[in-house]
Amino acid sequence: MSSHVDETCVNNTWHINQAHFLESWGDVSGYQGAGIIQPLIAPLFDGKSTIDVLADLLSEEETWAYGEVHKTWSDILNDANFDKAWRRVVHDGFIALDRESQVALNRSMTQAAVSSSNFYRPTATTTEMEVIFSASFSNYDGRYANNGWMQELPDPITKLTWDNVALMSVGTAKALGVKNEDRLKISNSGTDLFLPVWVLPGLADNTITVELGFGRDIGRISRGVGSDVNVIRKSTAINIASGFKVAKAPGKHTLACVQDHHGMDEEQLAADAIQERLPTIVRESSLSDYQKDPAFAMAFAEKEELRSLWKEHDYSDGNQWGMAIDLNTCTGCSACTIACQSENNIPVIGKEEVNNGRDMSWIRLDRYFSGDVEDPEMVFQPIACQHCEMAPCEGVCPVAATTHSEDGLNEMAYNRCIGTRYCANNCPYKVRRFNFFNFTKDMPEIVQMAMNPDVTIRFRGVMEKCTFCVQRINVAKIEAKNDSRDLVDGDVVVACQQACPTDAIAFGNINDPQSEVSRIKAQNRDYALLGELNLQPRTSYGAKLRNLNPAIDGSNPAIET
Amino acid sequence: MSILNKHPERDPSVAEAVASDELLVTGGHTFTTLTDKVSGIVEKKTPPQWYLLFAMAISGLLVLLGAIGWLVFEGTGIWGLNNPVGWGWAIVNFVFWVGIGHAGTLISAILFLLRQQWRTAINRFAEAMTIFAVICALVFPGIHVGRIWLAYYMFPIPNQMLIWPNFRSPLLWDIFAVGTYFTVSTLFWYVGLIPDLATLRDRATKLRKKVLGFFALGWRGGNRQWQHYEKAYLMLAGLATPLVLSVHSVVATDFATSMVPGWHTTIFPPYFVAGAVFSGFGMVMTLALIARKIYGLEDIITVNHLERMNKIILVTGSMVGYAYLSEFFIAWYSGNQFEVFAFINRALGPYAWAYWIMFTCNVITPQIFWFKKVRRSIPIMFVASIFVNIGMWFERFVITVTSLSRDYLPSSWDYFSPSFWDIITFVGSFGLFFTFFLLFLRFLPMVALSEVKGVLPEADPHHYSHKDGGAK
Repeated sequence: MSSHVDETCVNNTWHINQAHFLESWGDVSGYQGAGIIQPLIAPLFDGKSTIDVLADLLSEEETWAYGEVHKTWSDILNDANFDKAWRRVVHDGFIALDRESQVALNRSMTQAAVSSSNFYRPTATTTEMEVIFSASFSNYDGRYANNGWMQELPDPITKLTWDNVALMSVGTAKALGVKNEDRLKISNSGTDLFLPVWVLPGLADNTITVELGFGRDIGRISRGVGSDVNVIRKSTAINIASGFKVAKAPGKHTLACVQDHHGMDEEQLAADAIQERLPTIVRESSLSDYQKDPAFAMAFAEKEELRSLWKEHDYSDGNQWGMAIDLNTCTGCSACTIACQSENNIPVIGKEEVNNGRDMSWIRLDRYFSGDVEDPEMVFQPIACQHCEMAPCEGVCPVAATTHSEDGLNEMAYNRCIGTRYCANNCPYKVRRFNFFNFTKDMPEIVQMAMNPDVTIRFRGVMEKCTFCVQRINVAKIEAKNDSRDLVDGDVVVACQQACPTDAIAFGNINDPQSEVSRIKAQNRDYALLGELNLQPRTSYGAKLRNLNPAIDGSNPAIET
Repeated sequence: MSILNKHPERDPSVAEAVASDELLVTGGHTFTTLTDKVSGIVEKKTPPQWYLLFAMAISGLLVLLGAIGWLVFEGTGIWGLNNPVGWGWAIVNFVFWVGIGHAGTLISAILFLLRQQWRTAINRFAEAMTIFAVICALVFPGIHVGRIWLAYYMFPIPNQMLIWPNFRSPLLWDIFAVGTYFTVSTLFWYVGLIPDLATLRDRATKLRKKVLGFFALGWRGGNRQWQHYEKAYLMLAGLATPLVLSVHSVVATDFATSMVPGWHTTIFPPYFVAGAVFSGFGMVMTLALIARKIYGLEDIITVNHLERMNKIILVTGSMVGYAYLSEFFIAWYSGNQFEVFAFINRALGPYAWAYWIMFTCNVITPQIFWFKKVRRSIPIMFVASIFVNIGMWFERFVITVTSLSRDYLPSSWDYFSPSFWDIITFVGSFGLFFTFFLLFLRFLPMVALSEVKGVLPEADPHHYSHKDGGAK
């Protein structure tokens, strides 16, 4: 019984078409309480829920999920006026239940576990390499592999899409004489696995990291993407295995990477330029230095006041939307990218087009390495349209398809856009995305149903980019107007902000000094990316502070490691 | 016509002039032999080479039409463009063709106003070349947009949406600049053609006579007609002269007004104009050498003419070289890290190969023309003229693509590679150009007869009595 025909299903005699859990009644239970699942839609493919099937098997009379859930809850609620209590819990969706208190954490046990001697010590050599099997960042063990969003979501560190690779350190690559996109043969007792090479700074030498979740045989999206690494994985060494022969194999394998395409920064000229720019792009400091110099993030700002050549528009009135992104709390998880893709109907374009450098994400995560290539530091920087007040994209559009709104949004009129791409050229943040083809042409009907009806699907030849979720702003405005009130802070929550697990993104009215975004922007860590261009972006960044444990950063040798 | 030359028999300085190769038309031509020679090209049997070249040109044109058809059907994605590099070969080709379209009007308008009589031998087909090059150029901005069927949004047409184009955008300035240039160049070329069309008409019969008669606008060659004609020509020359300088200056603002490092430089307008004249003369040279060989025009387009063109190539090529060096100096002097990197990246980055092709062809090649022997050697100048245009195409490529591929945020950097369609669209544009050009050679007088006659000694029988005080 499963919702998809997968590799297991095809080896079975019988298969029951399982409904999605939101296509059927059900219930859930947790520590704090229990809740009821209501179906959102009749089963699209006539599927049956697990409750349906089990009830059918166990019960003599004909029964359905609704009846079973109803029956269960009559026991849970145990109320004389059951109908009323049932309606309430269906309405609320949740009921708090008194459960037994949580088990206390056994500290002594954890302390014993976290002893340095328990850590794995590498014994791998160039001839006997170690292989680490790790779950794919986006596909996990392969269960999400048939989802285009997941395949196209760049791995936060490698920035690769649509493939799994053999990750190795710079030293190991040198020892094996391989470069990015070379094919690598990993052999273990007669079984060979071929994977493309990707060199990643900061990995342990003589260790190859491979990702699970690829090389599936079934699925419109997942079939044939990447390679199945289970062929060299054994149940006796399921996470880390050693004793592998690793050698370069003939041929090349093209990888679709959204940053440093094809490892371009192997070139010294570019690598130097990146390191030269990095301190101004991603401003960071250590906690102790920050305490000494709290205004360090401003240190890169122009000394003289920046002046415009023409009279600037007055934005002192009404709601003025702005965003603050805290680099300190951003973990690079990429949830914002997927949230945005879901909210704004951003198409999936496939490996070939990603490789052509046409990825469509409206908010991307830039990843930079700095310092020693063997032991580098790494930062993430989410970048979406900065909604510059002096937007360079607007002046160059010959048909005025991108203009500024009264509330400070840089807007795209898709119907007006003819696709000269001049705006994208002139954007220093390179956040504009062009529909080089009709990317939604072959979208299955079922996927069309998943599109957000509040957002236009863009046709080919049209430029698009982050809108600050203008559709959500408008809904909030309409609701406020219906209630005859002004918008208050928190009325508008943009998709990336909503999805961010660490609340690194704040959004709101920057004209209101009490709004969350204004208070964050008032902090001394706040800086504008490429602020010296005087484009006056509405998005600003909170400088990153590092507070490394002295046991890790090596600055305190007294602590035994 | 006030442009005159000295009479070979009566003026002793003529012998000297002949010795120093200053005579504009050699071979002892008279009015009649000139008319026969030039008109004969379109009246007599077409040489077989023409058919061969025309078949090639038409094939190229069909390739272009096919490539455009697929582009409209499938989308801009068939080209090699990517996210940082939003402009690729289409824009490179546009600037390349506009640049070539500079020589014609420069020769016919500016050199006319400067009384450079040697222009008469080459001005007609240089002007034709200009018009056809501008047609090729105009194809590209039209097809490079994402939604070709809506390209008319760029024109200031009153519409139901009550929306005008954005007059702040340099792309809109382009439409006006190139459009005006095309209109005035065509008009100028046509006005220049009228007396020659009448000459052809007078020699033709039947339908040909009627068609030529229609386009000759009833030209009879009378005194009053000449008087009006010369005034009109002078005025058009005056109108066209600023356009020669303005059109490529405006094209340069496409880049100069943006904020992309490597584009955002004030040197661009004059530098683009110099480069355009440079490439235009390169193209005129290539075409003139072929045409003069096939049609035996060595008496009219003499080595003297070619030498003078080589001098212009030397001057403009040196200006372009100076601009390249000054760009580097200014980038360093600005102290702007993005600007500095843009130029170092050009010379040493992943596109260094393109930069050095450009530098070799544009800066080093024309320097050979310091030597008189080289300036007068036809094989050398033929090869050099082709090098000039290869170099100038690469100049536009280097400016457009290398700057975009690596701008402010390194995370977005990417490398552009042309696709199959990029290449055949460019090749096809030569098909379009040569189709027009070969039709021109076949049906219209490729040398400005009436003007060349004006520089013959016979045109000024009284000059000897005026001594040096006579009109020149």
